[in-house]
Amino acid sequence: MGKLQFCPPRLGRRGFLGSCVVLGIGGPLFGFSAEVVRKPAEKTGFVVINGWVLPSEYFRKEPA
Amino acid sequence: MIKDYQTQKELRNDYDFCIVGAGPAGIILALQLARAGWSVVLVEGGGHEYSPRSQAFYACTSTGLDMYAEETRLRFLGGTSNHWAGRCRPFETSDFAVSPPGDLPGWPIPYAEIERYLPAAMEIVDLPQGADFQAHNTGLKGGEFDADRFLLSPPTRFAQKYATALRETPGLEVFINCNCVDLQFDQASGRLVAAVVSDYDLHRERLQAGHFILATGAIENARQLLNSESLLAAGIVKRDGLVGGCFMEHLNIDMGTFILNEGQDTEPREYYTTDAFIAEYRSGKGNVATSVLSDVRTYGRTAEVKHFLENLACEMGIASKIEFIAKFSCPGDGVISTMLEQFPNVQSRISLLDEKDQLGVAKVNVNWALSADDRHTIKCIGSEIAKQFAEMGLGFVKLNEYVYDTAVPLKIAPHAHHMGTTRMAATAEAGVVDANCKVFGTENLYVAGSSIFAKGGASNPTMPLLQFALRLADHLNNKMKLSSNEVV
Repeated sequence: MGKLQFCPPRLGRRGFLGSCVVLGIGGPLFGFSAEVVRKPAEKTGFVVINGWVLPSEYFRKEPA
Repeated sequence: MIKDYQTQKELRNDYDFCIVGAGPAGIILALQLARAGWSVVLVEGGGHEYSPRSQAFYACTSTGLDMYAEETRLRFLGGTSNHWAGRCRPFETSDFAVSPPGDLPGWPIPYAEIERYLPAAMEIVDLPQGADFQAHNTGLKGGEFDADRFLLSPPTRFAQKYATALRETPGLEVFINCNCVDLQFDQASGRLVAAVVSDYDLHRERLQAGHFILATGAIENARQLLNSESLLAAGIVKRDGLVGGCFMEHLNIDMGTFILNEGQDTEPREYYTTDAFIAEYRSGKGNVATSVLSDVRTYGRTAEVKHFLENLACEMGIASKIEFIAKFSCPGDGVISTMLEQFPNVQSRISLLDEKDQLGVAKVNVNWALSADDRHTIKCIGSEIAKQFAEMGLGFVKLNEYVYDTAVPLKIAPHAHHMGTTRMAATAEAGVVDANCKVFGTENLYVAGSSIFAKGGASNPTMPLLQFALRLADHLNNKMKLSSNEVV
Protein backbone atom coordinates (compact mmCIF):
# COMPACT_ATOMS: atom_id res chain seq x y z
CA MET A 1 0.00 0.00 0.00
CA GLY A 2 1.44 3.31 -1.00
CA LYS A 3 1.30 6.46 1.02
CA LEU A 4 -1.36 8.97 0.16
CA GLN A 5 -1.31 12.72 0.61
CA PHE A 6 -4.54 14.63 0.13
CA CYS A 7 -4.12 17.95 -1.62
CA PRO A 8 -7.49 19.45 -2.45
CA PRO A 9 -7.33 22.57 -4.62
CA ARG A 10 -8.33 24.81 -1.74
CA LEU A 11 -4.97 24.22 -0.08
CA GLY A 12 -3.43 26.41 -2.76
CA ARG A 13 -0.21 25.83 -4.56
CA ARG A 14 2.00 26.93 -1.72
CA GLY A 15 0.35 24.49 0.67
CA PHE A 16 0.57 21.74 -1.84
CA LEU A 17 4.26 22.23 -2.50
CA GLY A 18 4.85 22.14 1.22
CA SER A 19 2.95 18.91 1.40
CA CYS A 20 5.10 17.48 -1.35
CA VAL A 21 8.16 18.03 0.77
CA VAL A 22 6.55 16.15 3.63
CA LEU A 23 5.49 13.46 1.24
CA GLY A 24 8.97 13.13 -0.14
CA ILE A 25 10.34 12.08 3.20
CA GLY A 26 7.56 9.65 3.92
CA GLY A 27 5.41 11.84 6.13
CA PRO A 28 2.16 10.79 7.74
CA LEU A 29 -0.94 10.24 5.73
CA PHE A 30 -3.65 12.84 6.10
CA GLY A 31 -6.62 11.35 7.92
CA PHE A 32 -4.91 8.07 8.74
CA SER A 33 -2.82 7.25 11.75
CA ALA A 34 0.89 7.03 11.12
CA GLU A 35 0.85 3.53 12.50
CA VAL A 36 -1.56 2.38 9.87
CA VAL A 37 0.57 3.48 6.95
CA ARG A 38 3.98 2.44 8.23
CA LYS A 39 5.06 -0.34 5.92
CA PRO A 40 8.80 -0.81 5.54
CA ALA A 41 8.68 -2.30 2.08
CA GLU A 42 6.60 0.39 0.46
CA LYS A 43 8.18 2.94 -1.77
CA THR A 44 5.40 4.45 -3.80
CA GLY A 45 3.45 7.39 -2.49
CA PHE A 46 0.45 9.11 -3.94
CA VAL A 47 -0.99 12.57 -3.92
CA VAL A 48 -4.57 13.61 -4.39
CA ILE A 49 -5.00 16.77 -6.44
CA ASN A 50 -8.49 17.84 -7.37
CA GLY A 51 -9.55 14.27 -6.65
CA TRP A 52 -7.01 12.69 -8.99
CA VAL A 53 -4.92 10.07 -7.23
CA LEU A 54 -1.48 10.24 -8.80
CA PRO A 55 1.98 8.86 -7.99
CA SER A 56 3.86 11.38 -5.86
CA GLU A 57 7.14 10.70 -7.64
CA TYR A 58 6.01 13.03 -10.42
CA PHE A 59 5.48 15.85 -7.94
CA ARG A 60 8.65 15.84 -5.89
CA LYS A 61 10.84 18.91 -5.96
CA GLU A 62 13.78 18.49 -8.23
CA PRO A 63 17.10 18.37 -6.35
CA ALA A 64 18.84 21.71 -6.14
CA MET B 1 -53.57 -24.59 0.92
CA ILE B 2 -53.68 -20.86 0.28
CA LYS B 3 -56.73 -19.01 1.58
CA ASP B 4 -57.77 -15.40 1.20
CA TYR B 5 -58.41 -14.06 4.69
CA GLN B 6 -60.50 -11.27 3.23
CA THR B 7 -63.21 -13.82 2.42
CA GLN B 8 -62.17 -16.99 4.26
CA LYS B 9 -62.09 -16.57 8.05
CA GLU B 10 -60.90 -20.09 8.68
CA LEU B 11 -57.99 -19.71 11.07
CA ARG B 12 -57.64 -22.41 13.70
CA ASN B 13 -56.24 -21.86 17.17
CA ASP B 14 -53.95 -24.83 17.62
CA TYR B 15 -51.04 -24.28 15.28
CA ASP B 16 -47.57 -25.30 16.37
CA PHE B 17 -46.11 -22.35 14.49
CA CYS B 18 -47.40 -19.02 13.28
CA ILE B 19 -45.10 -17.34 10.77
CA VAL B 20 -45.78 -13.71 9.93
CA GLY B 21 -44.58 -12.68 6.47
CA ALA B 22 -44.37 -14.77 3.29
CA GLY B 23 -41.09 -13.60 1.82
CA PRO B 24 -38.07 -15.88 1.29
CA ALA B 25 -37.43 -16.50 5.01
CA GLY B 26 -41.08 -17.03 5.91
CA ILE B 27 -41.81 -19.34 3.01
CA ILE B 28 -38.75 -21.53 3.60
CA LEU B 29 -39.38 -21.74 7.34
CA ALA B 30 -43.04 -22.64 6.79
CA LEU B 31 -42.20 -25.40 4.34
CA GLN B 32 -39.37 -26.83 6.43
CA LEU B 33 -41.48 -26.97 9.61
CA ALA B 34 -44.58 -28.33 7.88
CA ARG B 35 -42.51 -31.01 6.13
CA ALA B 36 -41.13 -31.96 9.54
CA GLY B 37 -44.69 -32.76 10.58
CA TRP B 38 -45.75 -29.67 12.49
CA SER B 39 -48.88 -27.63 11.93
CA VAL B 40 -47.95 -24.26 10.51
CA VAL B 41 -49.85 -21.15 9.56
CA LEU B 42 -48.16 -18.58 7.32
CA VAL B 43 -49.88 -15.18 7.24
CA GLU B 44 -49.13 -12.61 4.57
CA GLY B 45 -50.49 -9.08 4.57
CA GLY B 46 -50.53 -8.75 0.81
CA GLY B 47 -52.25 -10.82 -1.84
CA HIS B 48 -51.07 -12.96 -4.73
CA GLU B 49 -49.98 -9.92 -6.73
CA TYR B 50 -48.77 -6.37 -6.19
CA SER B 51 -51.52 -3.99 -5.11
CA PRO B 52 -51.30 -0.31 -4.16
CA ARG B 53 -53.66 -1.01 -1.24
CA SER B 54 -51.22 -3.39 0.39
CA GLN B 55 -48.06 -1.60 -0.68
CA ALA B 56 -49.22 1.65 0.91
CA PHE B 57 -48.70 0.09 4.33
CA TYR B 58 -44.94 0.20 3.67
CA ALA B 59 -44.88 4.00 3.57
CA CYS B 60 -42.44 5.47 6.09
CA THR B 61 -41.13 8.88 6.93
CA SER B 62 -37.39 9.43 6.77
CA THR B 63 -35.17 11.72 8.80
CA GLY B 64 -31.85 10.34 7.63
CA LEU B 65 -30.30 9.35 4.34
CA ASP B 66 -32.97 8.46 1.83
CA MET B 67 -33.34 4.71 1.58
CA TYR B 68 -36.65 4.54 -0.32
CA ALA B 69 -38.46 2.42 2.26
CA GLU B 70 -41.62 2.01 0.25
CA GLU B 71 -40.13 1.41 -3.18
CA THR B 72 -37.41 -1.05 -2.21
CA ARG B 73 -39.77 -3.53 -0.58
CA LEU B 74 -42.73 -5.49 -1.93
CA ARG B 75 -45.74 -6.39 0.21
CA PHE B 76 -47.30 -9.48 -1.36
CA LEU B 77 -46.77 -13.24 -1.55
CA GLY B 78 -43.06 -13.85 -2.17
CA GLY B 79 -42.16 -10.51 -0.61
CA THR B 80 -39.24 -8.53 -1.89
CA SER B 81 -37.93 -11.57 -3.77
CA ASN B 82 -40.46 -10.47 -6.41
CA HIS B 83 -37.94 -7.88 -7.59
CA TRP B 84 -34.74 -9.45 -6.32
CA ALA B 85 -31.79 -9.11 -8.72
CA GLY B 86 -30.32 -12.49 -7.75
CA ARG B 87 -26.71 -11.74 -6.81
CA CYS B 88 -25.37 -14.30 -4.33
CA ARG B 89 -22.16 -14.03 -2.35
CA PRO B 90 -21.83 -16.02 0.87
CA PHE B 91 -20.62 -14.69 4.17
CA GLU B 92 -17.14 -15.85 5.14
CA THR B 93 -15.34 -16.74 8.35
CA SER B 94 -14.02 -13.23 8.95
CA ASP B 95 -17.53 -11.76 8.87
CA PHE B 96 -18.19 -13.66 12.08
CA ALA B 97 -14.73 -13.56 13.63
CA VAL B 98 -14.02 -9.83 13.47
CA SER B 99 -15.91 -7.47 15.79
CA PRO B 100 -17.11 -4.10 14.52
CA PRO B 101 -15.54 -0.92 15.92
CA GLY B 102 -17.39 0.67 18.81
CA ASP B 103 -19.23 -0.81 21.77
CA LEU B 104 -21.42 -3.35 20.01
CA PRO B 105 -20.16 -6.90 19.54
CA GLY B 106 -20.18 -8.84 16.30
CA TRP B 107 -21.81 -12.20 15.76
CA PRO B 108 -22.14 -14.44 18.83
CA ILE B 109 -21.75 -17.56 16.68
CA PRO B 110 -19.00 -18.76 14.33
CA TYR B 111 -19.52 -18.87 10.59
CA ALA B 112 -19.53 -22.68 10.72
CA GLU B 113 -23.01 -22.43 12.28
CA ILE B 114 -24.49 -21.33 8.96
CA GLU B 115 -21.85 -22.57 6.54
CA ARG B 116 -23.31 -26.05 6.69
CA TYR B 117 -26.60 -24.67 5.31
CA LEU B 118 -24.95 -23.13 2.25
CA PRO B 119 -25.59 -26.05 -0.15
CA ALA B 120 -29.29 -26.10 0.80
CA ALA B 121 -29.59 -22.33 0.46
CA MET B 122 -27.89 -22.51 -2.95
CA GLU B 123 -30.43 -25.08 -4.04
CA ILE B 124 -33.28 -22.84 -2.89
CA VAL B 125 -32.05 -19.94 -5.01
CA ASP B 126 -31.43 -22.27 -7.97
CA LEU B 127 -27.65 -22.12 -8.04
CA PRO B 128 -25.86 -25.18 -9.47
CA GLN B 129 -24.99 -27.64 -6.73
CA GLY B 130 -21.33 -27.64 -5.91
CA ALA B 131 -20.67 -24.59 -8.05
CA ASP B 132 -17.85 -22.34 -6.95
CA PHE B 133 -18.53 -18.70 -6.40
CA GLN B 134 -16.74 -17.36 -9.43
CA ALA B 135 -14.41 -14.47 -10.06
CA HIS B 136 -15.30 -12.73 -13.29
CA ASN B 137 -12.05 -10.79 -13.61
CA THR B 138 -8.53 -10.90 -12.23
CA GLY B 139 -7.78 -9.40 -8.84
CA LEU B 140 -5.38 -6.62 -8.01
CA LYS B 141 -1.89 -7.67 -6.99
CA GLY B 142 -1.35 -5.42 -4.00
CA GLY B 143 -3.01 -7.78 -1.50
CA GLU B 144 -5.83 -5.38 -0.72
CA PHE B 145 -8.41 -6.44 -3.30
CA ASP B 146 -9.26 -9.84 -4.70
CA ALA B 147 -11.58 -10.31 -7.60
CA ASP B 148 -15.10 -10.52 -6.16
CA ARG B 149 -16.67 -13.96 -6.32
CA PHE B 150 -20.38 -14.40 -6.79
CA LEU B 151 -23.06 -16.37 -8.57
CA LEU B 152 -26.29 -15.13 -10.06
CA SER B 153 -29.60 -16.72 -9.20
CA PRO B 154 -32.05 -16.80 -12.18
CA PRO B 155 -33.36 -14.99 -9.87
CA THR B 156 -35.66 -17.20 -7.85
CA ARG B 157 -39.19 -15.87 -7.39
CA PHE B 158 -40.29 -17.58 -4.21
CA ALA B 159 -44.06 -17.33 -4.67
CA GLN B 160 -43.85 -18.91 -8.12
CA LYS B 161 -41.23 -21.52 -7.34
CA TYR B 162 -43.02 -22.70 -4.22
CA ALA B 163 -46.61 -22.15 -5.39
CA THR B 164 -47.43 -25.84 -5.47
CA ALA B 165 -45.64 -26.53 -2.21
CA LEU B 166 -47.50 -23.70 -0.48
CA ARG B 167 -50.80 -25.08 -1.73
CA GLU B 168 -50.22 -28.75 -1.15
CA THR B 169 -47.79 -29.34 1.72
CA PRO B 170 -49.71 -31.18 4.48
CA GLY B 171 -49.88 -29.29 7.73
CA LEU B 172 -49.34 -25.88 6.12
CA GLU B 173 -52.05 -23.25 5.84
CA VAL B 174 -51.28 -19.97 4.08
CA PHE B 175 -53.51 -16.93 4.49
CA ILE B 176 -53.07 -13.94 2.22
CA ASN B 177 -54.56 -10.49 2.94
CA CYS B 178 -54.03 -11.36 6.58
CA ASN B 179 -52.29 -8.48 8.34
CA CYS B 180 -50.60 -8.82 11.71
CA VAL B 181 -51.63 -5.76 13.74
CA ASP B 182 -50.58 -6.66 17.28
CA LEU B 183 -48.52 -9.14 19.29
CA GLN B 184 -50.02 -10.12 22.63
CA PHE B 185 -47.47 -11.09 25.26
CA ASP B 186 -48.24 -12.68 28.62
CA GLN B 187 -45.67 -11.52 31.12
CA ALA B 188 -46.49 -14.24 33.66
CA SER B 189 -45.68 -17.10 31.32
CA GLY B 190 -43.12 -15.24 29.24
CA ARG B 191 -44.96 -16.35 26.14
CA LEU B 192 -46.47 -14.61 23.19
CA VAL B 193 -50.04 -15.87 23.37
CA ALA B 194 -51.50 -14.45 20.18
CA ALA B 195 -50.88 -12.46 17.05
CA VAL B 196 -53.83 -10.25 16.28
CA VAL B 197 -54.60 -10.31 12.57
CA SER B 198 -56.88 -8.16 10.48
CA ASP B 199 -58.33 -8.13 7.00
CA TYR B 200 -58.64 -4.88 5.08
CA ASP B 201 -62.14 -4.24 6.48
CA LEU B 202 -60.74 -4.13 10.03
CA HIS B 203 -62.13 -7.52 10.99
CA ARG B 204 -59.75 -8.59 13.74
CA GLU B 205 -59.01 -11.99 15.22
CA ARG B 206 -56.60 -13.47 17.73
CA LEU B 207 -54.35 -16.07 16.13
CA GLN B 208 -52.93 -18.51 18.67
CA ALA B 209 -49.96 -20.81 18.21
CA GLY B 210 -47.22 -22.49 20.17
CA HIS B 211 -44.47 -20.46 18.57
CA PHE B 212 -44.40 -17.24 16.59
CA ILE B 213 -41.83 -16.18 14.02
CA LEU B 214 -41.63 -12.69 12.57
CA ALA B 215 -40.34 -12.76 8.99
CA THR B 216 -41.49 -9.44 7.58
CA GLY B 217 -38.18 -7.75 6.76
CA ALA B 218 -35.93 -5.54 8.84
CA ILE B 219 -38.22 -2.53 9.02
CA GLU B 220 -41.46 -4.40 9.69
CA ASN B 221 -39.96 -6.89 12.16
CA ALA B 222 -38.85 -3.99 14.32
CA ARG B 223 -42.16 -2.22 13.74
CA GLN B 224 -44.17 -5.23 14.93
CA LEU B 225 -42.14 -5.47 18.12
CA LEU B 226 -42.24 -1.74 18.83
CA ASN B 227 -45.97 -1.61 18.11
CA SER B 228 -46.83 -4.21 20.77
CA GLU B 229 -48.00 -2.50 23.94
CA SER B 230 -47.77 -5.76 25.89
CA LEU B 231 -44.13 -6.31 24.89
CA LEU B 232 -43.38 -2.72 25.87
CA ALA B 233 -45.19 -3.07 29.19
CA ALA B 234 -43.22 -6.23 29.98
CA GLY B 235 -39.94 -4.49 29.23
CA ILE B 236 -39.12 -6.93 26.42
CA VAL B 237 -39.02 -4.00 24.03
CA LYS B 238 -37.90 -0.46 24.77
CA ARG B 239 -38.79 2.38 22.46
CA ASP B 240 -35.22 3.71 22.32
CA GLY B 241 -33.48 0.39 22.80
CA LEU B 242 -31.93 -2.00 20.35
CA VAL B 243 -35.22 -3.00 18.71
CA GLY B 244 -35.17 -0.88 15.58
CA GLY B 245 -31.62 0.27 16.27
CA CYS B 246 -28.58 -0.58 14.18
CA PHE B 247 -30.45 -0.32 10.90
CA MET B 248 -27.85 -1.16 8.27
CA GLU B 249 -27.74 -0.93 4.50
CA HIS B 250 -25.00 -1.59 2.00
CA LEU B 251 -23.43 1.64 0.87
CA ASN B 252 -23.82 2.42 -2.80
CA ILE B 253 -21.25 5.16 -3.32
CA ASP B 254 -20.36 6.88 -6.55
CA MET B 255 -16.64 6.85 -5.85
CA GLY B 256 -15.63 8.77 -8.93
CA THR B 257 -14.38 8.23 -12.44
CA PHE B 258 -11.30 6.76 -14.04
CA ILE B 259 -9.17 7.11 -17.10
CA LEU B 260 -8.20 3.77 -18.60
CA ASN B 261 -4.69 3.34 -19.90
CA GLU B 262 -4.35 2.49 -23.53
CA GLY B 263 -4.73 -1.18 -24.30
CA GLN B 264 -6.53 -2.07 -21.08
CA ASP B 265 -9.49 -4.40 -21.14
CA THR B 266 -12.78 -2.49 -21.09
CA GLU B 267 -14.80 -5.28 -19.47
CA PRO B 268 -16.50 -4.51 -16.13
CA ARG B 269 -14.48 -5.54 -13.08
CA GLU B 270 -15.53 -6.29 -9.52
CA TYR B 271 -13.10 -6.32 -6.63
CA TYR B 272 -13.54 -7.24 -2.97
CA THR B 273 -11.52 -6.23 0.05
CA THR B 274 -9.24 -8.91 1.46
CA ASP B 275 -9.12 -9.86 5.14
CA ALA B 276 -5.63 -8.30 5.24
CA PHE B 277 -7.09 -4.97 4.13
CA ILE B 278 -9.78 -5.09 6.83
CA ALA B 279 -7.23 -5.97 9.49
CA GLU B 280 -4.86 -3.19 8.49
CA TYR B 281 -7.36 -0.37 8.11
CA ARG B 282 -10.00 -1.53 10.63
CA SER B 283 -12.53 -0.71 7.97
CA GLY B 284 -15.64 -2.42 6.73
CA LYS B 285 -15.61 -4.79 3.80
CA GLY B 286 -16.56 -3.79 0.35
CA ASN B 287 -17.22 -4.61 -3.24
CA VAL B 288 -15.87 -2.11 -5.75
CA ALA B 289 -17.11 -2.28 -9.32
CA THR B 290 -15.57 -0.48 -12.26
CA SER B 291 -17.44 -0.13 -15.49
CA VAL B 292 -16.43 1.59 -18.67
CA LEU B 293 -18.89 4.07 -20.12
CA SER B 294 -20.36 3.57 -23.56
CA ASP B 295 -17.00 4.10 -25.20
CA VAL B 296 -13.45 4.96 -24.31
CA ARG B 297 -13.10 8.50 -25.49
CA THR B 298 -10.18 9.47 -27.66
CA TYR B 299 -11.31 13.00 -28.32
CA GLY B 300 -12.19 16.25 -26.59
CA ARG B 301 -11.43 17.06 -22.97
CA THR B 302 -10.90 13.44 -22.00
CA ALA B 303 -8.23 13.05 -24.65
CA GLU B 304 -6.45 16.12 -23.33
CA VAL B 305 -6.47 14.74 -19.79
CA LYS B 306 -5.30 11.35 -21.03
CA HIS B 307 -2.45 12.87 -22.90
CA PHE B 308 -1.39 14.76 -19.82
CA LEU B 309 -1.55 11.67 -17.57
CA GLU B 310 0.44 9.62 -20.06
CA ASN B 311 3.16 12.23 -19.87
CA LEU B 312 3.21 12.76 -16.12
CA ALA B 313 6.87 11.80 -15.98
CA CYS B 314 7.84 14.63 -18.27
CA GLU B 315 9.96 17.40 -16.88
CA MET B 316 7.36 20.11 -17.21
CA GLY B 317 7.80 21.40 -13.66
CA ILE B 318 5.71 20.65 -10.61
CA ALA B 319 3.92 23.96 -10.58
CA SER B 320 2.72 23.56 -14.14
CA LYS B 321 1.53 20.04 -13.51
CA ILE B 322 -0.41 21.07 -10.45
CA GLU B 323 -1.92 24.04 -12.15
CA PHE B 324 -3.17 21.83 -14.94
CA ILE B 325 -4.48 19.06 -12.71
CA ALA B 326 -6.18 21.43 -10.29
CA LYS B 327 -8.29 22.68 -13.18
CA PHE B 328 -8.88 19.64 -15.26
CA SER B 329 -12.04 17.68 -15.29
CA CYS B 330 -13.55 15.26 -17.76
CA PRO B 331 -16.21 12.55 -17.85
CA GLY B 332 -13.52 9.87 -17.77
CA ASP B 333 -13.72 6.47 -19.39
CA GLY B 334 -15.69 4.83 -16.64
CA VAL B 335 -17.23 5.02 -13.21
CA ILE B 336 -16.54 3.32 -9.88
CA SER B 337 -19.42 2.14 -7.74
CA THR B 338 -19.54 0.16 -4.52
CA MET B 339 -21.41 -2.12 -2.17
CA LEU B 340 -19.76 -1.41 1.17
CA GLU B 341 -20.35 -2.67 4.68
CA GLN B 342 -22.08 -0.39 7.16
CA PHE B 343 -21.19 -0.98 10.78
CA PRO B 344 -23.95 -1.24 13.39
CA ASN B 345 -24.75 1.97 15.24
CA VAL B 346 -27.82 2.66 17.36
CA GLN B 347 -28.42 6.09 15.87
CA SER B 348 -29.31 4.47 12.57
CA ARG B 349 -32.77 3.28 13.52
CA ILE B 350 -36.45 2.59 13.05
CA SER B 351 -38.64 4.59 15.45
CA LEU B 352 -42.35 4.38 16.14
CA LEU B 353 -44.53 7.39 15.34
CA ASP B 354 -47.74 8.41 17.07
CA GLU B 355 -49.64 8.28 13.79
CA LYS B 356 -51.25 4.96 12.92
CA ASP B 357 -52.07 3.37 9.59
CA GLN B 358 -55.58 2.38 8.52
CA LEU B 359 -55.24 -0.98 10.27
CA GLY B 360 -54.29 0.67 13.56
CA VAL B 361 -50.58 -0.15 13.48
CA ALA B 362 -48.23 2.68 14.42
CA LYS B 363 -46.24 4.05 11.51
CA VAL B 364 -42.47 4.28 11.64
CA ASN B 365 -39.72 6.69 10.79
CA VAL B 366 -36.44 5.47 9.33
CA ASN B 367 -33.32 7.36 10.27
CA TRP B 368 -30.64 5.78 8.13
CA ALA B 369 -27.42 7.29 9.44
CA LEU B 370 -23.74 6.56 8.94
CA SER B 371 -21.06 6.80 11.59
CA ALA B 372 -17.50 8.12 11.40
CA ASP B 373 -16.41 4.50 11.10
CA ASP B 374 -18.46 4.17 7.92
CA ARG B 375 -16.90 7.31 6.45
CA HIS B 376 -13.55 5.75 7.31
CA THR B 377 -14.51 2.64 5.33
CA ILE B 378 -15.50 4.73 2.31
CA LYS B 379 -12.30 6.75 2.46
CA CYS B 380 -10.00 3.76 2.88
CA ILE B 381 -11.57 1.70 0.13
CA GLY B 382 -11.82 4.63 -2.28
CA SER B 383 -8.26 5.73 -1.71
CA GLU B 384 -6.81 2.25 -1.93
CA ILE B 385 -8.64 1.23 -5.07
CA ALA B 386 -7.42 4.44 -6.71
CA LYS B 387 -3.82 3.72 -5.74
CA GLN B 388 -4.10 0.13 -6.87
CA PHE B 389 -5.46 1.27 -10.20
CA ALA B 390 -2.38 3.39 -10.77
CA GLU B 391 0.08 0.82 -9.41
CA MET B 392 -1.33 -1.88 -11.67
CA GLY B 393 -1.04 0.40 -14.67
CA LEU B 394 -4.77 0.21 -15.31
CA GLY B 395 -5.14 3.97 -15.38
CA PHE B 396 -5.87 6.85 -13.02
CA VAL B 397 -8.81 7.55 -10.75
CA LYS B 398 -10.51 10.83 -9.90
CA LEU B 399 -12.25 10.43 -6.55
CA ASN B 400 -15.25 12.49 -5.64
CA GLU B 401 -14.37 14.92 -2.88
CA TYR B 402 -16.70 13.37 -0.30
CA VAL B 403 -14.74 10.11 -0.58
CA TYR B 404 -11.49 11.51 0.82
CA ASP B 405 -12.81 14.55 2.70
CA THR B 406 -15.16 13.29 5.42
CA ALA B 407 -16.29 16.85 6.15
CA VAL B 408 -18.03 17.00 2.76
CA PRO B 409 -21.62 15.67 2.76
CA LEU B 410 -21.81 12.22 1.24
CA LYS B 411 -23.77 11.35 -1.86
CA ILE B 412 -25.06 7.86 -1.32
CA ALA B 413 -27.71 5.50 -2.58
CA PRO B 414 -29.06 2.33 -0.95
CA HIS B 415 -28.88 -1.25 -2.19
CA ALA B 416 -32.25 -2.25 -0.67
CA HIS B 417 -30.47 -4.55 1.80
CA HIS B 418 -32.16 -3.81 5.12
CA MET B 419 -30.43 -5.39 8.11
CA GLY B 420 -29.73 -5.26 11.82
CA THR B 421 -32.89 -3.96 13.50
CA THR B 422 -33.33 -7.07 15.68
CA ARG B 423 -29.67 -7.94 15.90
CA MET B 424 -28.37 -11.25 17.22
CA ALA B 425 -26.18 -11.16 20.33
CA ALA B 426 -25.10 -13.25 23.28
CA THR B 427 -26.89 -11.01 25.77
CA ALA B 428 -29.94 -8.74 25.84
CA GLU B 429 -27.67 -5.78 26.49
CA ALA B 430 -26.15 -6.14 23.04
CA GLY B 431 -28.98 -7.47 20.93
CA VAL B 432 -32.63 -8.36 20.44
CA VAL B 433 -32.46 -12.07 19.62
CA ASP B 434 -30.23 -14.77 21.02
CA ALA B 435 -28.04 -17.17 19.05
CA ASN B 436 -31.17 -19.20 18.20
CA CYS B 437 -33.05 -16.15 16.90
CA LYS B 438 -35.37 -16.07 19.95
CA VAL B 439 -36.31 -12.65 21.28
CA PHE B 440 -34.62 -12.13 24.64
CA GLY B 441 -37.09 -12.36 27.53
CA THR B 442 -39.60 -14.48 25.66
CA GLU B 443 -40.09 -18.25 25.46
CA ASN B 444 -41.62 -18.59 22.02
CA LEU B 445 -41.09 -15.48 19.87
CA TYR B 446 -38.53 -15.73 17.09
CA VAL B 447 -37.28 -13.53 14.29
CA ALA B 448 -36.11 -14.54 10.81
CA GLY B 449 -34.56 -12.57 7.98
CA SER B 450 -31.71 -10.10 7.74
CA SER B 451 -33.00 -8.04 10.68
CA ILE B 452 -31.09 -10.49 12.89
CA PHE B 453 -27.74 -9.65 11.26
CA ALA B 454 -25.23 -8.47 13.87
CA LYS B 455 -22.98 -7.30 11.04
CA GLY B 456 -23.90 -6.73 7.44
CA GLY B 457 -20.62 -7.62 5.77
CA ALA B 458 -20.63 -6.86 2.07
CA SER B 459 -22.45 -9.96 0.91
CA ASN B 460 -25.89 -9.77 -0.65
CA PRO B 461 -28.18 -10.80 2.21
CA THR B 462 -30.79 -13.05 0.56
CA MET B 463 -28.79 -16.28 0.46
CA PRO B 464 -27.29 -15.83 3.95
CA LEU B 465 -30.70 -15.08 5.46
CA LEU B 466 -31.92 -18.35 3.95
CA GLN B 467 -29.04 -20.16 5.65
CA PHE B 468 -30.20 -18.65 8.94
CA ALA B 469 -33.81 -19.61 8.20
CA LEU B 470 -32.81 -23.22 7.58
CA ARG B 471 -30.82 -23.22 10.80
CA LEU B 472 -33.78 -21.79 12.71
CA ALA B 473 -36.08 -24.44 11.23
CA ASP B 474 -33.70 -27.15 12.46
CA HIS B 475 -33.55 -25.56 15.90
CA LEU B 476 -37.33 -25.32 16.21
CA ASN B 477 -37.85 -28.83 14.91
CA ASN B 478 -35.40 -30.18 17.48
CA LYS B 479 -37.00 -28.11 20.21
CA MET B 480 -40.42 -29.47 19.34
CA LYS B 481 -39.19 -33.06 19.18
CA LEU B 482 -37.51 -32.66 22.56
CA SER B 483 -40.67 -31.17 23.99
CA SER B 484 -42.76 -34.02 22.57
CA ASN B 485 -40.45 -36.61 24.11
CA GLU B 486 -40.69 -34.91 27.49
CA VAL B 487 -44.48 -35.02 27.32
CA VAL B 488 -44.41 -38.73 26.49
